[in-house]
Amino acid sequence: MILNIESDLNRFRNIVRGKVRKDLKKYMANGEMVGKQGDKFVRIPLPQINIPRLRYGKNEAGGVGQGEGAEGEKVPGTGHEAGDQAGEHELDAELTIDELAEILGEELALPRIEPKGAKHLSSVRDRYTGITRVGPRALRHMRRTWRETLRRQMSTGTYDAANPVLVPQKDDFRFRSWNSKTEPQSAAAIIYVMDVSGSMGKEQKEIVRLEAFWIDTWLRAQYKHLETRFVIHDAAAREVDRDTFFRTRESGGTLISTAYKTVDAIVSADYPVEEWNLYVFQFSDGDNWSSSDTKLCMEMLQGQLLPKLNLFCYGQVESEYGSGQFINDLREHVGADERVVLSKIAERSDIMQSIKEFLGKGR
Amino acid sequence: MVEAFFKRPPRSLPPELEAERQRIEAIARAAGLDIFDTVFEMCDYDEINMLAAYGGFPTRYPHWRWGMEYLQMQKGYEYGLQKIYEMVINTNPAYAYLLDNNYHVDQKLVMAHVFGHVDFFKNNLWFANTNRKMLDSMADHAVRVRRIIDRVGESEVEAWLDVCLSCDNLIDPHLGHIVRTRREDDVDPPTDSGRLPASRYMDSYINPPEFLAELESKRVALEARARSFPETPVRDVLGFVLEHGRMQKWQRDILDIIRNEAYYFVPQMQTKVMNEGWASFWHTRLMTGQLLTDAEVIDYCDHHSGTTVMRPGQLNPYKVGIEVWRDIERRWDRGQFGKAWMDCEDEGARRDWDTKAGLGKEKIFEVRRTHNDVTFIDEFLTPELCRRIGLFTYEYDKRSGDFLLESREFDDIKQKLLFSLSTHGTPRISVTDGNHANRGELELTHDHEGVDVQVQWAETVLGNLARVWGRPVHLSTRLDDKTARMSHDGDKFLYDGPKIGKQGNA
Amino acid sequence: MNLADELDQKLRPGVIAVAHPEGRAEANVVDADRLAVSVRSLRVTVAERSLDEAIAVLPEAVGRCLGLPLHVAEHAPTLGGAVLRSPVDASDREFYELRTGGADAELKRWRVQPAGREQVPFTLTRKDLGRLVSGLKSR
Repeated sequence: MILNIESDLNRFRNIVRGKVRKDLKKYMANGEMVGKQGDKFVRIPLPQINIPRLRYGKNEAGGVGQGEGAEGEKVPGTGHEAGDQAGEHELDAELTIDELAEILGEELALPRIEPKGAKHLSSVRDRYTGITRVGPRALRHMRRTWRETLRRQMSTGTYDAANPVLVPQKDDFRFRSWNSKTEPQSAAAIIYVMDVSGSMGKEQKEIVRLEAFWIDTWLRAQYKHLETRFVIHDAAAREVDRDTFFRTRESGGTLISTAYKTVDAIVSADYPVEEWNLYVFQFSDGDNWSSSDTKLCMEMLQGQLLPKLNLFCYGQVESEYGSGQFINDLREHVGADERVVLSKIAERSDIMQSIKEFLGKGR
Repeated sequence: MVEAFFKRPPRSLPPELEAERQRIEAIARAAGLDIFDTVFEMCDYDEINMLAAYGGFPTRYPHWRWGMEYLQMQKGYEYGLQKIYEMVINTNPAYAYLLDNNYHVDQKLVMAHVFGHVDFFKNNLWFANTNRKMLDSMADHAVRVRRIIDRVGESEVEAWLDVCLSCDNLIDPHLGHIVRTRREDDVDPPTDSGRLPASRYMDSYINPPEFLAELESKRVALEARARSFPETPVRDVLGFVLEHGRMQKWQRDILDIIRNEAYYFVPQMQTKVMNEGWASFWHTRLMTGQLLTDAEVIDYCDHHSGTTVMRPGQLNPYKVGIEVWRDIERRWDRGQFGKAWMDCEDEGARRDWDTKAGLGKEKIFEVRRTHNDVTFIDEFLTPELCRRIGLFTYEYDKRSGDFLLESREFDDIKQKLLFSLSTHGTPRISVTDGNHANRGELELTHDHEGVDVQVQWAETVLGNLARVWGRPVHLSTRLDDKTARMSHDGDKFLYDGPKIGKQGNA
Repeated sequence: MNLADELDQKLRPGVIAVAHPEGRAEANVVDADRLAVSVRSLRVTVAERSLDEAIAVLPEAVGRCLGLPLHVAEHAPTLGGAVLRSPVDASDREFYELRTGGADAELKRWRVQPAGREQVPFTLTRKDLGRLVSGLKSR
């Protein structure tokens, strides 16, 4: 039976896409969207896409529930994720990463990237076809679990056919597990670099977080396999994980050359140039400690880094204290290089334009 | 005719299952279930989700809402909410769609469950006047809408459907069937004075003065009646607007379809707890009475626990329904009803009360005929049941933004349950004046039952109503305990009432 | 005569440097008259003061003279220095910046521009300049 839902579904998705497209600039500056990113989907809070009806305020009515709990306690299962009465709760529309990237591409007129080479990668987790005895709750295999439970209960005589109730015990549980597969695919690595010195404030870091999200979205749609690395620095640089990258705040001074050294070390160790498409996105307020260090930075860029990269993007965020000198130095020394894109991001509403500059080259 | 709607032939039951079906149907009928002939179809997971999105009818008018419902189904599955094992619709013959990748025992259980539903649809009085040929009607509606789309255009029709759908809950749930919007004895005030034809010189003879005076007073009375319009508040707002609103014929056609479909589903909304409880009661009764193989037991538990387990905080109609049905049967078997029982206050005596009356089966079949959710809960929910199921009421706490457990008192629970079952979240709104300010404006009044309407939607819906009515629309209500009035002329929204803060959103 | 007075005596347009047992003062003077002086930068160096001591005492000592709070914007012990800043003035978008390596402390004023920052002179009464010199050499 093939039903007609395809066209109704497409129509709905078009409406969602239209909404996002229309308000893209607003969405790009909105931190909420970034927070709910999944592996394949991005959840967009769009309460307006629903059929409006005259209803009671959801909260005013209260309700009747079932379970444990004392008076005055919070009712478990209520709140955003619990609304299962159709139409009673706001709809979070979902877009796949690909759809979002498509909207991005169209609205910002971004050219598709032509990746170089195909890389061979190992250990891609693919299908959950195995069964094991331990695992996380989410991977529980209920049918196998019931089978084990029945087997045990029958052998211990605790099973009553007239009242068929099965009570699984710890050893009865079974879980799905994955099998590895290797697949050839084109690959890319992004290295994000952020200045976390005292002069980078909360708002500046939020801007960096939003830009990183959109860059990620676009590049993920271009490359089947994408690795991401994070480097933070003040007067010293180190590699960190994603959370630390966005959370850290130091009070130190800024020595950009340390970050470049770390980036070079990562690239040399893990990403042979012939096999990888490499991108560096650096964000700073542009106040390097000294001009001699800036000189060192330029030498490193020209000598070691740029030859290995598809793209080097530098975004200079501004604070109330204005903009630093570093972007001017970059412009002077490497601005003409076609692998280099420089962008100023004074405030959130500039994010869209900055992304357009960064990704508009199709590299 | 149904086959024509599917792009490839629907899959009927494989032979083993067909044999099971006949066996189960025989068992069901022997147990007393009275059912329409039921056609079973096998569907895969996507198909059944699509059907669910369409409300059970494979062909509906084209609209994005079906796409949205479909996505919500998928998300419901993701959140671990009820999975759909079957879908059965209120038609004759009945159609039931089964998910094809259950093991056979699941299908047996599901079929028993389906027969419970069909018996309910057939016998419950609230369904007596529903259109059992709705499959054909839905398809017909779809064809009509598509024809209009061809004439008028896709986006115009979509926009109009959006408008109609936003008002489709403004109907009268107590209308037993769709009444003609004009009563048989409705007459327009006579345009001429009703004088009998006569040539001049015969006039005073044929139309004597008393006769004329009588005619005159009748005419005045009729006009006066027509002036108070409607005479009494009309809950069926959609019907009123359909009859008296200014719109083009194609718009009226579509609004009529939307209203017709809305009314079709009303009895199902009003009996959800009973119906699901009834079907669960019977699938349990029929299945545990039989001999299941061990493997089948596993699957039975898996399935049964999935549909009757209650997520903390949420009310599961299957569970509440089945508990009440079992309680009714048990009580009437043991004579736990009537004056003597009601008056007995001794807990021990109540618990041990057993006159061996054996009236349980008779009683449940009677109740499934006569009651709806409201009367069901009103009459048969007991404090013992509330305790056993663990029911409580909860309220929204503005300060913390959380829902907090309020009470486990029987009276509170019953009152709240009855309230939600009788309103389903829709405020009581009636047309109180179809000629407001003598300018043909529509006046609506909200019969406030202690809960405020959600203002953000009100603006949109009133605007839509203004478009449907063709002239300005007003709504009188209460917000925060004070009178409030909202108006919309199709362009601008006017609000006159207390200041409203962030409302209705967690 | 202390360091501040010594400097005050020598004030005239140009780069002025004054040595004293208390320390050294250098000013890039734009203009000076009987009452006030306009400088592009003022730098005071003392004999002994660690970076930690400097950032402990300078924000208050200098802030009091300027009538504006100074906060430590960057503290880079490995680089041997720190940067202190005042809030940005809403009307002219200017702010004070104090750089110190410990023993020395240099004050400048900057205006925020779209293309970058522009250094601008600041004007004080001669008396206030004297206080500022004292503030910059606090321990």
